[in-house]
Amino acid sequence: MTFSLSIFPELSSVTVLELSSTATSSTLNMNVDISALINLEIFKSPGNIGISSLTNDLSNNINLKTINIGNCNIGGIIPDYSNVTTLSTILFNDNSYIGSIPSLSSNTNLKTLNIGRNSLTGPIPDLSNNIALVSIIGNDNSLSGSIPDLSNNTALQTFNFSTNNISGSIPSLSDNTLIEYIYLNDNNLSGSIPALNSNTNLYQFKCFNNSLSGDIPNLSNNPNLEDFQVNGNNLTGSIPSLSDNTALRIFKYGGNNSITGNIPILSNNTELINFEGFFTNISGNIPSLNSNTKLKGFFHSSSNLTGNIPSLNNNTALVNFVVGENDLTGDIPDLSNNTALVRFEVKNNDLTGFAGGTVSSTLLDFKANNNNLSATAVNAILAAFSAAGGIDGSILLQGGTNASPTGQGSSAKTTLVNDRGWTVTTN
Amino acid sequence: MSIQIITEVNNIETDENQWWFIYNESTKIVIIAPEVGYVSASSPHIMVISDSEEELVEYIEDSNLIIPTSDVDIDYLV
Repeated sequence: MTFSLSIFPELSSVTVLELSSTATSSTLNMNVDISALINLEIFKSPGNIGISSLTNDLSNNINLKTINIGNCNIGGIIPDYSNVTTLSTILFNDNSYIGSIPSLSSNTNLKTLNIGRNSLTGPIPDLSNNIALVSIIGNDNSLSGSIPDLSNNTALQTFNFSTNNISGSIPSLSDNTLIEYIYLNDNNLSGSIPALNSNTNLYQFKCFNNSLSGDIPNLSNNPNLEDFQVNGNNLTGSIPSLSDNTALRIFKYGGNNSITGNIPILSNNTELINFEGFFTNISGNIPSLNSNTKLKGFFHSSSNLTGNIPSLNNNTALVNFVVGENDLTGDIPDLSNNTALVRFEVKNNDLTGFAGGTVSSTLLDFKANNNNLSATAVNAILAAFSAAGGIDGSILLQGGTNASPTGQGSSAKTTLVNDRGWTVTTN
Repeated sequence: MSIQIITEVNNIETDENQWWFIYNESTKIVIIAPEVGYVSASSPHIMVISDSEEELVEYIEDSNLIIPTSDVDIDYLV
């Protein structure tokens, strides 16, 4: 069905057109002809209301400021809007556009461009003339080439080209002092992470799953930083101090990185939810986690951590604590306060004891195999789980020089397996 | 030695050189991924024992069993 506004000549004076519908796309499937609206400034048709094509691509509507056809199931090539210099907002996200991104060099008033989740190819265009640009989003396409110079984009706040095939290095961000969100994860980027000391407004920096090398930059000038993910790269060096990142919620640096040094002091990171650094060369002790009362996930398996596991008494929100395959010694800590704990993994260490206390009925995945646990510890662990009342979990205590259960421990093992459906492995 | 599939897992013991794993027949989820070495295992689920890791991996693939990628799939936390 063609939905033509050309039959209403008086509509030439219309400046704002917003199409919306409660019907589904499959029932409408409209070809929309809006060529009569020569003075249109704002065209909005967000959401999948059934537009399958635009007879007029609006590229001659020289007064157009906003075009919003996100999530409309529209395909084809993105029109060339080089004549429409008034454009400030282009939202073409979640469609089926193919081909490359047209030149934006004439669109000096462009503030927002969202072309994410299409099927676009080719490079990110030169952005040096787009000095008003605040937000550019092109995630989940097949874009290639390198990231253009961003030094003229001093108003930029959001730069999102995650999940593409972009290569080369991340350009200097020293002039992007207003930037808040940088998403470049899941690309083919190489080179080092640029200095972030000028980006004092930075909230989120996600560059995981690339081939970045060099050190994690100093983060002491990023007081608003809440999410920093650089896992799955080839980074080296040590973790910088995080003591000034008091808003930090997520910090991920593990994966294929060869990070060395110690885990930094986390006492100022009271908002921390997820701290992840497995498969690294990190060494030294696990720092005190007493201040991290919101912590849900602590992942540091397959590293070189030594010393005792710190008290987890204050980590009442903890869901996952995973520090297997290190060189930890001493006792498994008292878990009585960790009432949300689901997974506790300390396998392949040199642990000898259990500090005692209860375990939560939520704790259904407990791995302490391949340690040096005494019979007292093994029996107390099994008794704690038997008393907790959880069902269908698993406890691994075999391997290493862990003692075999005796007496109360043997009884608890039988109860857990026969009455609660647990899987229990011991020596 | 050929692969052993044990349905009554009540203090089943393995040798130091044997590979083994345990899975839930109903969900097809591997509860304990392949391990090597001595164990005394008790479980309401299925235990599979072999002299070679490859044989267990082949069994897992042929049976369409699921090994949770628990070290990776953690974004649900936040």
